[in-house]
Amino acid sequence: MSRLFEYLRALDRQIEHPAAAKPSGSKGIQHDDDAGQILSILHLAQSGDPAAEESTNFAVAEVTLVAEDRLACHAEPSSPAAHRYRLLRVRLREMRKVRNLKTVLITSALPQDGKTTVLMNIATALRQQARDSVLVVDGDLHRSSLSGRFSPRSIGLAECVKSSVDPSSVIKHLQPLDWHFLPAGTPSENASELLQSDAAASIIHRLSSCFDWVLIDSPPVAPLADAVSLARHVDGTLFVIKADVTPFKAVEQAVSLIGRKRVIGAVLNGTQETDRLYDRYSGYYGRDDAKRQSAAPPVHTPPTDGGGGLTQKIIPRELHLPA
Amino acid sequence: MLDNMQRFAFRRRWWLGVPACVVSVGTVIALAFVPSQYTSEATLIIVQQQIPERYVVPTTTTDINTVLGAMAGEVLSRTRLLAIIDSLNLYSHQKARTAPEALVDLMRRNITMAPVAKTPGRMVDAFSISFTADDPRIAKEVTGRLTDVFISENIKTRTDQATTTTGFLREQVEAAKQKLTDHEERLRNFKMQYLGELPEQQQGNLNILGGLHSELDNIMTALNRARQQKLYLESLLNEYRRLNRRTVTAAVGPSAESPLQLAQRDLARMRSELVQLRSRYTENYPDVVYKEEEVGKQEAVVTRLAQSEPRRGPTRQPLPPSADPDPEANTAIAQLNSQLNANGLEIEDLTRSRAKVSAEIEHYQSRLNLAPVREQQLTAMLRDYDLLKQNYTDLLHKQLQAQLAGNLEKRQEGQQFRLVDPPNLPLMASSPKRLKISLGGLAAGLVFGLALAVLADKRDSSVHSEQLLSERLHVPLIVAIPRIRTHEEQRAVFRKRVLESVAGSLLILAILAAQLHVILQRG
Repeated sequence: MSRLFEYLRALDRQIEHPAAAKPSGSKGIQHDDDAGQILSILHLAQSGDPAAEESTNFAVAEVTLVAEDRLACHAEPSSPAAHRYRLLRVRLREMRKVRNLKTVLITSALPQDGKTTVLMNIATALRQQARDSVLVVDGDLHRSSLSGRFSPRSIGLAECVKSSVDPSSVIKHLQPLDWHFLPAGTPSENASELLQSDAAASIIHRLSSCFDWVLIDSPPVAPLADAVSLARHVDGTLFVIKADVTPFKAVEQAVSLIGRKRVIGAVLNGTQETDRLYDRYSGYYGRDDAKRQSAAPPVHTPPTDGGGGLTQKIIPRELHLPA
Repeated sequence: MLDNMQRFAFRRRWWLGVPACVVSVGTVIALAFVPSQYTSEATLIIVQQQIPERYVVPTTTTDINTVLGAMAGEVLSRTRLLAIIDSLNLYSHQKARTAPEALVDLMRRNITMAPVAKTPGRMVDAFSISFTADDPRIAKEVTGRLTDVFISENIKTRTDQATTTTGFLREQVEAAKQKLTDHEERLRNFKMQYLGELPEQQQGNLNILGGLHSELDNIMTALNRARQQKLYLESLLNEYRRLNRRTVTAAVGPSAESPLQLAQRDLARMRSELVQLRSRYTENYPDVVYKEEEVGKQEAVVTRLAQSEPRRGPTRQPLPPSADPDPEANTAIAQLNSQLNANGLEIEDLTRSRAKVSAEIEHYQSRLNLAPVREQQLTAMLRDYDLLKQNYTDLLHKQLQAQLAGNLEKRQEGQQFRLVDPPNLPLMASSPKRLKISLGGLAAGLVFGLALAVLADKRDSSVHSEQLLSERLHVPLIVAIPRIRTHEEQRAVFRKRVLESVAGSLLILAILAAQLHVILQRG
């Protein structure tokens, strides 16, 4: 039985029997309120501690990272891109101080603008510092690149919305990225309607209460209305613009479709100017990082199963998140 | 702004470089097919005439522009140019398919004549002749021919002009002279016709008229005196006759006066009158002179009577009328008659003189009356005469000057051209300006490329910089992420950059090679 489940059952008993002792929280962690207690248990479960891992019920999936993933924050933490993603992390946290910002939609005006790459790097950066729990949701129910990469042929958000599948049953904890992933699920023709539904909004809302950050990957705004639908369910939308590629008019139209007030900001992806700037100065600071990098343990690369470099270690599910 | 320009240049470097290279190299290649043209030039100066102009005024203009214009028409005539084309076999390739007029036009376009201005504001005194051809030797030969033609034609033209001017002026002088002679004849005839009525004779006429008036006065005075003499003689004759008719005179009593006494009494009276006249007038006064003559005559009568009185005695008995008159008295009467006759003749003569003088006076008076009319006529004739004379004088002066100038030209001491710089053999092509054109091609290529780059940039509405995004999107730009490349991509980028560097170097080398080729070809 998971620690969380036991705690919740104890809560139930206390509700039924107020005189009963309040259940204790997770080991070494005490909080005054129940929600904080639950969260702390979840944090512990997501800390990578094998003992804590045993207390969570999300399946752990070992993924093989390749260079094409462009996870600078993971593979090259001293690179200019990784520094920039950390800066983005700082900016997001600063925004959170002034507004409610938990669920963030990552979208772009046109395909191939790099929103998935940006999303993965943001998630990794958020996870690396302060140990925020991060859930990445693949909201592209038409042509999911994330699901195809990390969880092919599995059910996901589509089924959760259509068939009321428990999202916790399909959420995976990706290693070594150390953030959670909710796949898109089976591609659906009525994806836009599904995403517009109240069920989708409810699921996102429920997920936001369980994670520190919920980052949702969406299709581009121009060809489809999915991003517009998802934007209504999230706290803010982050626009990814590819430098020297995305037409400015398309960006303007996309922003106007999303709604300017819903857009928290833009990320200019792939600028050469930043390349030159960091090329000039990274040599000064990069040497120290490189030394530290060389002392760090290598990236874990489990044996492949020949299916795309993905192996999964499934721990039986024992937790049902409250509806 | 400089950063933006740098980014733009880097972003569109191929739009800039490729057109520049293509146009530049293409220009050089095109220039290779353009044959070089060589220009040979000669310089001539205008040598002023040796004799100062204040002594010999030239008949031709000295303005260089006018000279050039006049000579150009002569030197560049179709006949001369065709002769040069035929003698030097110019434009041999075009001859077969081009009309002679077109060849002449082509040659004219290759000939340049221009003044050489030495200093601003100073009159030009030199000019250059140049000819452009494919072959430098031909250019030099043609320029030499043109120069020779220029010099010889200038001399011939100036000489002809001086000769023509002289001949023309000679004819004009002859005509003016004839006109002047005719007018002099008319003037002479006029003067002869109206001699005496001319204004210059007016004073003479006045003097003559005055003299005639004086003469008339004298005649009138003489006539009056003669008439008075006649009256006197007649009275005296009557007296003598009366005395002669009284033959007997009474003894007693006072005896009647004798003629002598009467004569003496008249003499005394005349003398008293003379004295009165002398008291009023001078001796030359006509009345005084006349009275003196009468006194003289009367004294002669008294003397004669005195001589004849004693023979008759102190008293004489008058003879009866039937008796014969005194022969002495008859003598006196005869004398008186003769004097009367003389006086009558004198009066007639004076009357005729008076009429004559009056007629002359009238004649001269009419002359004086016509003098203003003649004066007016004469003035008009003299005015025309003066004009004709002035014209003749001027023409004569000009003819002399033209003759002098013509002689000067014949001796080739007038204004003439002198060759200062003979035609040169050009070693360097004058056109096309290969280096300029190639550099111009390069510049045009750059401009063209720039235009294409700007056009491409305008059409490219993608976002290039954070600043642009911030300015135009009005959505906060949170961060700019550099490109994340895999090793393969980095190697590909590296290869691409190497290729770009090589290609860019090749472009630059191509441009430099083209320019170097042009520079070497110039040498």
